[in-house]
Amino acid sequence: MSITENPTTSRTTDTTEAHGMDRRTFLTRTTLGVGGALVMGIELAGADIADAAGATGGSMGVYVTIGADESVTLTCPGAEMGQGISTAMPMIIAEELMVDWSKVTMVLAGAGDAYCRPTSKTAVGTSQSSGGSNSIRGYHDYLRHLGAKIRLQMLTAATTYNSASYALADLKVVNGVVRRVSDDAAVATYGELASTAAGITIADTDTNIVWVAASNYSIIGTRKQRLDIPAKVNGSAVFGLDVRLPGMKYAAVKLAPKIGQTVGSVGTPPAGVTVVELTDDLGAKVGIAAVHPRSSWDAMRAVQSTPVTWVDAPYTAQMDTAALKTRFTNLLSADFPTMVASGQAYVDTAKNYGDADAALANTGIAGTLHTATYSAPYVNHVTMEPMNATAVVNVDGLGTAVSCEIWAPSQTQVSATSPGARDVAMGILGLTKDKVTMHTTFLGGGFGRRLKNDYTRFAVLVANHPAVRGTPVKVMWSREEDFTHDFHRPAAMVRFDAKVGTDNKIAAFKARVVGGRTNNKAVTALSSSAVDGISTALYGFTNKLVQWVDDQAQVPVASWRSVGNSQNCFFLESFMDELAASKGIDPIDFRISHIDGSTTNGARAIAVLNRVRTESGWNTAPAAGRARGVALSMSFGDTVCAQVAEVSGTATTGFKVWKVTVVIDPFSIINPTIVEQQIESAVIQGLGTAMYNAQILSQGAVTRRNFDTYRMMKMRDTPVEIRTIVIESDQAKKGGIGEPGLPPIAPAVANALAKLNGTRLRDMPLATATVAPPPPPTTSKPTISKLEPTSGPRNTVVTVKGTNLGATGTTVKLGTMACTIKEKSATQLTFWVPMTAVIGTSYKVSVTNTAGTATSTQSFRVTSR
Amino acid sequence: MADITKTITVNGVSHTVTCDSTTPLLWVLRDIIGLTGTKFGCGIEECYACTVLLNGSAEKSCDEDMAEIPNGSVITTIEGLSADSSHKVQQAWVAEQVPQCGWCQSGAIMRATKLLQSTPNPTDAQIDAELANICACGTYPRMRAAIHRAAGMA
Repeated sequence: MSITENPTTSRTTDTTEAHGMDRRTFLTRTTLGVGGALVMGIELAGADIADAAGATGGSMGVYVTIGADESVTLTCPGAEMGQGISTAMPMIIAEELMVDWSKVTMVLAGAGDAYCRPTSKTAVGTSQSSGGSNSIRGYHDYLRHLGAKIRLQMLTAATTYNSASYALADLKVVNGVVRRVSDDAAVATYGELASTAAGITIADTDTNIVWVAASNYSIIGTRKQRLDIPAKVNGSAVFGLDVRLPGMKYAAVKLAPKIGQTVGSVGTPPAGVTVVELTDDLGAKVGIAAVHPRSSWDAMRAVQSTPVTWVDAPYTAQMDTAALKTRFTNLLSADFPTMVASGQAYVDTAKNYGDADAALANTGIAGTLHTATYSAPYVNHVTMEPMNATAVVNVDGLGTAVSCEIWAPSQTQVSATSPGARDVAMGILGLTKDKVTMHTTFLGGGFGRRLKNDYTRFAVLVANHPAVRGTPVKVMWSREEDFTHDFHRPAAMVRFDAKVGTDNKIAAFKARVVGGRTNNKAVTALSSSAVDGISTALYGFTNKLVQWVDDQAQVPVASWRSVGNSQNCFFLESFMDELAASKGIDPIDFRISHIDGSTTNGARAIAVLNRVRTESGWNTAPAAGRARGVALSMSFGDTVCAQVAEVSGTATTGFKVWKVTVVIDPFSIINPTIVEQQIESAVIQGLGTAMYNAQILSQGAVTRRNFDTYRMMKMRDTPVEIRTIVIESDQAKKGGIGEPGLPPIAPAVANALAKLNGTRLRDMPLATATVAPPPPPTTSKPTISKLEPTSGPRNTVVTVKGTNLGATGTTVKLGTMACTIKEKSATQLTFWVPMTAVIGTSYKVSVTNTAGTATSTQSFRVTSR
Repeated sequence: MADITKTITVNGVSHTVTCDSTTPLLWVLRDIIGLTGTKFGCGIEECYACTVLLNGSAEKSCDEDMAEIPNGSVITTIEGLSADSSHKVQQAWVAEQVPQCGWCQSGAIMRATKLLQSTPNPTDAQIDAELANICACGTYPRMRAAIHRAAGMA
């Protein structure tokens, strides 16, 4: 690496900071956010917080530090991957502390037992992991209790503040200031009380620990701006790939190009490059990493130019989309008892009512039989920040690893079973947990992908190489590696058989799900995630049977946002519309007629459906050429969500989603803005994935490895309007938010398209693969970034680089001379220098289209020959 | 494949950097100069996460090899948009609460900034055409609202 400051500059750059902060500077780096809130990018160790609080402040346990300057530092125990918990969790604590929100600073917790998901309001479990839309509902009671208890510590400290004597009952807190109830006089501020309060012990059973009543909330339920956003609009937020440490080296990975392959042999790397073999948690050699001291780019080039041969697994070639589709299809009709006997198939006994097989076969039950088969492909998580992690392994004089420090954008910091980042390092290095320090960075997307820690594992393996030990190393993946070594949302198929009786009720319902399990372990029982969304649906059928058949594929799979619900809600809610249509019944009425309104959740679902009917204008005619479709789901802590999508067009020639009306009942919420963000996100990600996405496997090879072939939803594809209505049906309960908005969008759109076009779409992706992205709707003004070459004789072909260069009717001039265009695209245009150009003259180049003209900053100089 | 040395001005500060000639500007900014606000998303000019202003034009820095970048080029990254997040696009992004995970936002903000320079009051169609950035979180409706908000700010 080489960099020098030029003496001509008028500004001085602190090269230490620019090149890599020292460790402590890094850990305590803060960013001044809009509105004066300090946003911490990286977690502080407890001792550092105490330092920061000053000698007279106080640390009130691992979650709360009150500064002598009235600053309030609150810890987020979970992973911030966009879902907003680094704001919502501090809001819960701050409500009970009764502090001034503008004084609140957030820090992200690293791995720590104390941050594990609570098992009650006073005890924590053994997993620190952010998934299953479980952060708010999992931590809410614990954080409320903790906040209320610290408030009582403050009040107790105030009873004797400055040698006075106040009755506890005569004290209250207003915005971090303890006041007397009787005359409202200020007694002391939190900053003044903190050091004393920190030494006061309050029993968890103390009856003076009283939660703020919902009617008195001043923070919960309000639209506080997200604490992480200021740092995310000025480039200062530190994600995993942004970690920079003194002396840090860079590494890039090369992993097997086909599923199941392992390293055969490794050739000679470029000079000065260290190559490290990478193993998975079962010891299989899955790839290599190349370490370079200068940059990520140098590391990526080094790993690319290191030859590796690969050895197929016995199943590699069979991991093929076409072959697997045949396998899945055969399993839909294979003999069930035989598969049960071999341990491949299971019945969801908890949701098995009556005798569906008999009812379907029994001609004595009047009704019409309906059968339909649906499918969903493997899809990718596609976090916008590719996988990466940074680690340093410190050794003693004998070369033995004595400690390890990790910086990882991980959804799982601590877990022995689904190994957390900390546990992965402990296992590789044989270290106890006190010797491993793990820092959680911001996550550039999670969606379930980062529940895994394979990238953390690779970072520790590289950092533990003898040539690297003692030096931090950042191990990054290219986008191609990120796609190729994803743990996919599983492919799945379902065959539905149902009989609708003369009373227009579903008399018998049978679903056989093939695939859909979310791990690659040996199957010994029903995979509940494979049938979630079908088994768990609120509809009551007299005779109901859900079968599950393991596909026995070795494609790596894992949870993907909303897990089984993401495909099963599409399957079931599409089929419900098919059944409703077969009887000519309104789809909302048909759904409600199968829900038991005497149960709490049934009543909530009916209320949600009735509300979405009203809010979407369901009973009014849509604009010409449009239709509406509805879908319902209940998932992740019994959050009920119904959506109505208003759509025009077809899936094959192009379509548009004009409006999505979302009604959601998650019992109660913390921050309406964050809830709306999550609903918009779920609708857009769910729609894009259902419409466009499939990972295509070809004899073991993952074929769609970047965004040129894996089409992502863009702004122009986004629904014109997404409207969110939240019903809070029970302030005492919390449901999930991050995922429940996703499942209904695909069937709502599919149901609208079926109504509009008369064609039922039963296979995702719904848009056929041959559909090209729609062209930009209008021409934009051209821009010019570069001319190549910048001199030459007449008739030279000059390349103009820039944007919006490809529109029909585009013209080019050299000076004032019109030129002939050779070729043009959106980003590049070539033309011939006219024979009339004057030798020795420099000309600017201008490009004009219907939206305007761009003129080059560079000139083209005409030379003799 | 050989090292080259170039002098470029980034956010008003001149830097002389030595790197492999094939190194894209993105990695010079992130790893050699140390400005990590510009993000890596795809490496093939598809996602726009790496957008910076290069000599006044919004460019994807993942495909701008240093060998091709003229000496003396002037670059503005997200860190250089303003010293204190006071740029109107940044303010609008906060007001509309746009970011979720945040990874793609630098690129979107830089592209929106360029759009508003050339088209002070863009229509939805113009925004759709220009903001081709990929955001997996789906913050698009808020991005659009923020651009309209910024267009209305002085």
